[in-house]
Amino acid sequence: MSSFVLRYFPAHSRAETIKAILSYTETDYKYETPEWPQQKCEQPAGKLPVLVEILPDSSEYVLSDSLAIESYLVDKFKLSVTGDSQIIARQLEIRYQIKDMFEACTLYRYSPPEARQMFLDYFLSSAKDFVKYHEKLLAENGSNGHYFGNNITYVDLAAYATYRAIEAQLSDATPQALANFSKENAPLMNKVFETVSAEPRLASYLATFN
Amino acid sequence: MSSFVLHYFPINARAEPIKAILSYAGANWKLESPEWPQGKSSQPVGKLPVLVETAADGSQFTLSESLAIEEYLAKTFSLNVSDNLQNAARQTELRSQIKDVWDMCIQYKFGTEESRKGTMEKYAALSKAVVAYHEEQLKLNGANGHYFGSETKYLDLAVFATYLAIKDFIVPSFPQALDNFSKENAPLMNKVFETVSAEPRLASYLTTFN
Repeated sequence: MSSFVLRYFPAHSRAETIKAILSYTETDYKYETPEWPQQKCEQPAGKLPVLVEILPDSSEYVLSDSLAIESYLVDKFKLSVTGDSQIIARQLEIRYQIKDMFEACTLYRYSPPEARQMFLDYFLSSAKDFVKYHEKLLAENGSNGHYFGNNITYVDLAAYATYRAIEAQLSDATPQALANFSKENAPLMNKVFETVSAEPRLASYLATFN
Repeated sequence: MSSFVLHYFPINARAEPIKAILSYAGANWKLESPEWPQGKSSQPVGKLPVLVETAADGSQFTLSESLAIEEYLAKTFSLNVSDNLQNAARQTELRSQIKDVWDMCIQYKFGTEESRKGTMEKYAALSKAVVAYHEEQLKLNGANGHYFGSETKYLDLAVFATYLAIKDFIVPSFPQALDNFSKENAPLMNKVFETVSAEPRLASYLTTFN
């Protein structure tokens, strides 16, 4: 059996979905927070997160980029939706749209004062379009708290974990920023959040918020 | 046989890898540029590119998100690396890194004079680190002008097409954008560029840059 190390900052940011996947699959891992920027040059392309898999023969497989790490773990632990290439493509489309929302959130969060309103407007209008499309997809899947089928798959975890990350990033920002994701405006997405957070195997992930 | 419509702006920018894959694969495809912003509300989340595939039976499949579209087409036309999970994840990692480079080019191009100073510095560090990592990976594959194996596949096409897009769409306003990608600084990446540009199946795609 392999063991894993996840290297990231001590923050609820870009590695949340990875943490949720590791928790849900009950995979033991060590969380390392490298000295920064001193250990930047030790990472592939100087960025985090990085996953290190230590194989049974002691060899190491090192992988960077949050989505590459996710896709590796999803394939390894069979968390992908099963189906034809169009369903797989839809899953990836959903994942990238969720990622785009997170990127828009960080753009707003780290914007200089003079650009703040512009980035907030962009985040809000993106969120509106995003929620509309995702509510439609979720309704098409039967409004059952899942993007695909009747069980938790990859993007259910990604949606919940990214929402928690956005919430953490915007904790001291205007409450208006998260309005599009409220139960009132995004009932089916919130059903995904409830379904995922109620999953016993997410307990260790949820504990990281204490 | 399916036919494809790629909805994108009439520029050589974010959708270049998609165009390169469609051309190389010999797909039946065309580019349509919606009126903008009037065409926004017809897209899944108000963004381009969007791919619409019409199957032989007339049914349609609509997909947004550039990297989801690329992966779907790569799979459809057997251009994906597929030998093992680790290489599949490595492909995603390397593709994401090139996307990060592109995104920062866009940030520079559309930034203010003020923001450009900071972006240029970050870009120099990012492009240097990405090139170093890609050169290493290319060396591991035998320095043969391909990222994986010995035939032109998805990643080779995507990296080359992004290089062409930076040259065409970014360099006019950001002359230093390709400094770290020169033959001197990135010899093995340039071998990929030469190898891919010499592919007869890419000839018609390359004429779009004249």
